[in-house]
Amino acid sequence: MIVAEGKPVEKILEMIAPYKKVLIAGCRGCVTVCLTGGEKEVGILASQIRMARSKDGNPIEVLEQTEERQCDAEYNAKFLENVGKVDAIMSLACGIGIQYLGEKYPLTPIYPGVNTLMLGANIDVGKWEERCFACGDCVLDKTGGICPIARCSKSLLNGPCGGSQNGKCEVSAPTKEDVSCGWQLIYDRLVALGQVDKLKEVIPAKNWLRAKGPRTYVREDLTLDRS
Amino acid sequence: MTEANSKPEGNLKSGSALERTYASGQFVVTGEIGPPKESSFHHVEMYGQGMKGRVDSVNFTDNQTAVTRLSSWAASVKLVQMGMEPNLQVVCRDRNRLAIQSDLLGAYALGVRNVLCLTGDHQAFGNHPGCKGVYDVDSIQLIGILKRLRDEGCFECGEECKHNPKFFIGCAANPFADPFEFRVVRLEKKIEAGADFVQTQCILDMERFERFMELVRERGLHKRIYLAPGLMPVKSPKMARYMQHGVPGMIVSEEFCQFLEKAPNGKIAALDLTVNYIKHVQQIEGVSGCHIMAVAWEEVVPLILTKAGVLPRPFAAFHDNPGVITDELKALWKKSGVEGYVPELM
Amino acid sequence: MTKQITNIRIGIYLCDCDGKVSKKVDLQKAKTVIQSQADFDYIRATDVLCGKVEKEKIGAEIDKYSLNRLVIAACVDSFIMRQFLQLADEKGINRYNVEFVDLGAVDSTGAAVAAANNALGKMRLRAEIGYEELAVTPDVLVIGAGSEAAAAATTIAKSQPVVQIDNVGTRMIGLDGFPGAFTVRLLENGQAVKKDFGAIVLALGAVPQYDKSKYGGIELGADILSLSQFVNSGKDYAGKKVSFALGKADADSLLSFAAVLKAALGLKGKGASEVNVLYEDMKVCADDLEQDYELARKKGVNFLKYTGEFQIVRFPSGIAFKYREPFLSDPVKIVADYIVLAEEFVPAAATLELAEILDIRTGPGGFFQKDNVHFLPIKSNRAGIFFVGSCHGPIHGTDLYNEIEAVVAEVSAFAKGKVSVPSLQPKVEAEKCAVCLTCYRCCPHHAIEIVHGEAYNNMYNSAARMNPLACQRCGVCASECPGKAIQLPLYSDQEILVEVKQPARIVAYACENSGFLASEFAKTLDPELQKDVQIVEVPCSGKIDIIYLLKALENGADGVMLCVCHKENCKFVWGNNRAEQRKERAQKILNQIGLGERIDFVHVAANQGNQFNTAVKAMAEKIRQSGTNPGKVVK
Repeated sequence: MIVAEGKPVEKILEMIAPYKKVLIAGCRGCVTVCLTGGEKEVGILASQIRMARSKDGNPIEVLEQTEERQCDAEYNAKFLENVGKVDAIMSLACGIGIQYLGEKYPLTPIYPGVNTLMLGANIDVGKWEERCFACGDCVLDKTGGICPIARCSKSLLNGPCGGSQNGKCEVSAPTKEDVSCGWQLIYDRLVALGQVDKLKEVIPAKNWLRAKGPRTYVREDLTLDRS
Repeated sequence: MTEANSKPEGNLKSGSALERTYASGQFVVTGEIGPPKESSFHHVEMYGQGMKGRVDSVNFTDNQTAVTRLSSWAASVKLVQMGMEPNLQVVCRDRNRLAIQSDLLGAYALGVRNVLCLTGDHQAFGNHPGCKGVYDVDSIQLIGILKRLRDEGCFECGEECKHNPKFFIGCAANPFADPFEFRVVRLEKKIEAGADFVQTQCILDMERFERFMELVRERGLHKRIYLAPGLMPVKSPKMARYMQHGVPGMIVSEEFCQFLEKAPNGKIAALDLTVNYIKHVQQIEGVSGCHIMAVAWEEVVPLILTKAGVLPRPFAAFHDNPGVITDELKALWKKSGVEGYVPELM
Repeated sequence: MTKQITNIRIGIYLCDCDGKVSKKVDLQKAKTVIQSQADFDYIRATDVLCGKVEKEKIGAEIDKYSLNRLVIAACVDSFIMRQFLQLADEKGINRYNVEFVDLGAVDSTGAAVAAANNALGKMRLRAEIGYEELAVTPDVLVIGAGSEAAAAATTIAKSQPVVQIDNVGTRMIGLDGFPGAFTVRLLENGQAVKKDFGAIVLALGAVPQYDKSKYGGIELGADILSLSQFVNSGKDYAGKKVSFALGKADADSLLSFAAVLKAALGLKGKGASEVNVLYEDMKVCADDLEQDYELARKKGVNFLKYTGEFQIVRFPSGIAFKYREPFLSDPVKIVADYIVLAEEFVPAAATLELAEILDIRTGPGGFFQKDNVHFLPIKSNRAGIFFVGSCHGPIHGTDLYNEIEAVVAEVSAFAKGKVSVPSLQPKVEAEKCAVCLTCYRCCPHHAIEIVHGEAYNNMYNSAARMNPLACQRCGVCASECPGKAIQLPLYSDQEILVEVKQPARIVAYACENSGFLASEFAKTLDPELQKDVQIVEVPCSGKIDIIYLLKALENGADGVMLCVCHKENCKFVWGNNRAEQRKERAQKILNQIGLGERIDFVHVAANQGNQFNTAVKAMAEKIRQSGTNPGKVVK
């Protein structure tokens, strides 16, 4: 799922500084699951903003509303009434939802309350890890089901590089983070599967056109003609 | 300067001195200079003079550890102008395939003949940690590109390159990284892709290197590629300990650290150790040369090579009239306290 | 799912308790204020509310005004509560629709009004609590092969069907379902089998293990035996001299003492010529041990005290202990034919595997059960799963029969094959449930399942559901839920937040197992101190949501406290840990907007009234330094 983290409240307050009435829009999709933008977090942020502005002698009215998703126009329509009452929207959905909600209400300024981080798996409560780069050309069949683009710091297709040691990627040292070497993981998995010979094959240079957009995906067989 | 269109003689692919020395079966010696962080060739000239005629060719690192330095291709061209032979290192981190092929066309036209294809340390190590790491291609794919240019005369996309560069293609291998048993498989992949010669990460644990060579010989790789281990004189015992614990991809043996710690004069000991290693690796089956990487201590290379008895070089330019040891170089020796190591050079 | 709340009609009764309340509270004034402020359907103030006449009067008013919820503001004690709950029950009002306000505990009219308003607010918001009739299996599974398991199985079998497995030939490999309706997956001689049980009792015992390092490296042999070797040897020791050594191993339990005393008595009974027991301290603090000790002495067993180390030395005449007696200057030598040494006890081999299968915790020494007073003696973190004997620590082996009785009492809940329980477990609103699994993972009691069906009105046709018999109603899930889809009956967000709509200067969210009880005790020690403190009761500190802390401040409190159980002694395993994490975040939220230090996190036990007062003083001091809360939002 899409994983996002809340922006620092100083930045959020900066964004809504000129306004007297704002709507915080939450989403019941990915941002609820990653504990960042659901109804609960909307409530917490709203309370924090109210108190901050009250303290500064510049009170603000904060409305709260959470709907299923912000990446579908029908759900975004449900915000209509509240949007009509406010000067600006602070959305806690992922970058997709923030923009799409903004497209629905182009005359109301919309602001991001979160940083969208990655496509990741929920390892345990409060812990998520990136797994996919959305590169548009999946090679998981060649690498034992582990992605070299997302999980190798250099996105090498024929790794590992010389900086892999004890299963750790060389970036662990300068970033002081614990980063596994994606290619060590691939190697170990292929050994376990008895498929390590797959690594003899040289994977050719990638077509990066698929990995960077703006991208569109159309299924001609499913598009609806409403005329 | 060699014209782009000239055909290398005989069976040689590039005609470089490095290739010729390897092909002759004689023990190869290469050096390395790290370009400066400024727009000046002063250091290239000073260290280059010290290595002139004493090595077969000289590596130039490419923004080593992701720190901006004078580009390796510019330094390489300068060395060609000085009459010596450079080994141009190219990393995949900073340029896409378009820019790399473009740089190489120019480098070849200006006389560069040896190129090493490397991945590159992650940008997080360097002085612009937030910059975009390119990695459009990896080192193995890059070897393939150079081979295609040389042997098929076309670019990566398949388009013809009329005056195609014919490089002697090099790569790196790290016997001290993991997974250990996969390192030889990866070396073989590089050979398959077209690598002609390989330089290893510097050896600070001889036992592990010898185990690596066993695996290399087991696979017969030593018959398919010229292999030269990296050797680094380590300036101080403290530096050795730091590399033992603080540098990924590097293994330093306890023996190595203790040799330096117990010696009365650490710097002389470092030089002695390197000289001993040069003599030792010549005895290892499958080793065709050695690569002296005196990182931040380039001035000691002439001392080491003279002491190691590998002079003169057979095919290097000026081998009969090696480069001048400048006063500046001598001053640097004095600073390290090693000016007495080879008295006749003073 | 939440029942629709329609047509709530609340009656509020204020009682002077025969003049007692008027000493501090102006009842008529209170009534007037409440009438102008609050939301209710009938109000009456009177001198005395208890007694037959009043009962009938109230009953008639309930009918006349169609009241279905009551607030009783009076001097409240358990007798009074019983009376009114009985009346309510007769009138078809269930006990969860009656709220009591203790006017005996308030000291001003204002406080009485506030308390009454809170109670009315809660009654207006309270969800309807029904009863659930559940079918349960009376069968009990006893896991274990030794004497402890046999004793447990035999005793429980007197009242309910029991299946005992040794976990070797027949092994447990999986568990599904919930208390009253567990489905146990077994491997019976290689065959996979499923059986249903209402409850599971672990009685694996502990495993004796000889540790030679405790005895200076002595190896066991023909005449040097470990205690379990001796007990199992079945040899004839008539005419022989046997010496036992206690005190070097098994430091934490009484099992060795019990075994040695029994063995000594047995030896004497069978004609051993001399029985010696070497000990450092005689530990007899369990049922029958003191008796056995006295009896053994009477029967001529020699009890020899040693101090420090002893040696085991071989002589031609036999094998001897050489040791120092505390009152003799020379070392003492006791020769015997056999020497028996006490062993350490370690957890049974299957402990870790079973702990994982059953999703229960292990504790000190790797035995079952964490060292948490709320689980003693026989409970695990999961309802329906119990421990007896040494498997949860060798110290329990000597208390076996008491533990078995406790388990019999617990499992008897399922004896009739059906149970009726109030539906007090948290309810999930499917429209808001993202099925993110957060509640499922955070539940300390394995009480949540993910269910599917058309009725669940969201894109997954799925939602979390809490099992009424497994759920302990701590509320951790409700506070963790990122979608605000879960509400805990009696402690919903609305019911709790209504209490802090107009908060006191200090709001203390207090766990009803610790902080709340401490606050009551604290009031008796220093009644004045809590004047500015409002206690909000929660079932577990794990129910304290970050928004509760923020809202209290937003509405005007100057500081908030969280009063929680001591570390590793949360009744609900990790409720207090979650509360601490939320407190950290809430304080960070305040720091980010410059509101200062206003949140205190206090560990107290129920009987620590003095410590509670100290904490209140500390909070008051903190507030004094941070100043009045500048973040208060005026509506």
